Amino acid sequence: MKVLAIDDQPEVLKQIEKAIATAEGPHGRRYEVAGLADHREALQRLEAEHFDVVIVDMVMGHDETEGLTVLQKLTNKSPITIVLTAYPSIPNCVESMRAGAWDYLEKVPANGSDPYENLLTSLRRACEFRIAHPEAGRTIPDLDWAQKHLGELLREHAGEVVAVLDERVVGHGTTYAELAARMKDQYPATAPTIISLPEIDVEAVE
Amino acid sequence: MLDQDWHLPDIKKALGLFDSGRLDEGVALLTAGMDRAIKAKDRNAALAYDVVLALMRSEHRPFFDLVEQARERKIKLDAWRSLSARSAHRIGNQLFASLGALRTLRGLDAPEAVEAVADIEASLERVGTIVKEFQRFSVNEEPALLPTDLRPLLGDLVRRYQRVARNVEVAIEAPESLPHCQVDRNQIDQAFGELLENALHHTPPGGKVVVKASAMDSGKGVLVAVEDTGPGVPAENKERLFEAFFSTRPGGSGLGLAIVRQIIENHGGRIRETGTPGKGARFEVELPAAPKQETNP
Repeated sequence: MKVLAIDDQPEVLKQIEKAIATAEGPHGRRYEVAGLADHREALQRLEAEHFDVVIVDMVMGHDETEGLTVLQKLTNKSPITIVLTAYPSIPNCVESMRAGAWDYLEKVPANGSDPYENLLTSLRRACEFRIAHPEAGRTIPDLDWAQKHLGELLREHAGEVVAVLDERVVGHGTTYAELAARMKDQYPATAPTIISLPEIDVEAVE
Repeated sequence: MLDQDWHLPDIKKALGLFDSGRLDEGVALLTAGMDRAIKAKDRNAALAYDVVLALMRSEHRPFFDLVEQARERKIKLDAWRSLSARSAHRIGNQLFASLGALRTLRGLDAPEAVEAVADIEASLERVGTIVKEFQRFSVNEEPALLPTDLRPLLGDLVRRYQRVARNVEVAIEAPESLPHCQVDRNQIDQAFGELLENALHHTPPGGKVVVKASAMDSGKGVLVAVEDTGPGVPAENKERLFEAFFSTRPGGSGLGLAIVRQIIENHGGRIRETGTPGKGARFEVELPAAPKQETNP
């Protein structure tokens, strides 16, 4: 599975690459990971080369929305995109999800969970989804539903991880890995979509 | 284009507001008019607003002093907030990178390495807590207000701290019924949690922390005092105590009481420290009552 990580902080990028390169992917496969510090370069690379998943930082350089620019340039044919940010806010989460992000992860999770575990779990699930639905593009019905109901979800579950299946919330919890494991037990055949919701900055929801 | 003399009725209305004692509305009207005049490059109007504001300032000096103080505090707070946001972001990135490097070290099994890794992990966890406080401080959350009975809310909080307090008695004193207040439960829980945490931290073994709630005169709100039997707050620190980064207890970010004040003031309330230095601290929080008709049965 090919993964592209975009982050303008070299020390951060190095660790993301390393964590992914040493992790086990779905069905015992390894990940092949590339890292880029510049989002324009990343967009060019995405046009030229196939990737399964993109991991993108939100705030790069002085622009707080550079990550969003990347998201908005992607099309339905683009790789699944995971946002990873040290500057989480609900408005930004809402925008990211509406722009088609698969997940919105915090570098310093509000609930104290391990950010690498969260990232690797989200990545693995994205890859599993890609393998199971090679033609699905980035439009995933449950994710689509979650994006449309983000306001409600945030009011009920801000700071939590929620699982959505067939247009309803089927589970919620504090850590990504724990909820993913629980959902796998409960729904072995169909994996619910799992998204994490930031805790802070509740004023700007709709 | 604005009509000539468009500002006169506006100014007349503002003067009327001043005469009937609605000073804050008068000031708001005049400053908004002034902004409009400057935007329209209407010198006459701008001058008129300026003169009237100067006149009102000399007539109502104490009120304008308060307005000025609040404005200065807001400017300062905004600066701290933006600094906090940038710090949270930059420290957060470095924290994330450190945790990544630590994942590699975790594989080592020499006993010294295991202990060092555990120590670093514990330190980074504290850094994480501080980053989260910076984040929380940097966003000025509008409270989602609901009419609330503070008694059960404070009761739950006190019970929570009774479980963790060691050798310190935690108690609540509240009358059977209190006026409902218009509050955001999560934020108020956070604010009083911080005050209780603070009180427990400063109270020596054998001491006592008491939360006292009472109705304010003429039902205009609720007064909640958090008292402890610690060393108290020296008189010269009583006001500065609530400034960001003024006092830091070990492991804290120096933002605790600043966040508490921000929350209370966002609720239209007030907070003061009124304890006796040497005898204990007493934090007084006043929260306005909810309008009668919206109160839950």
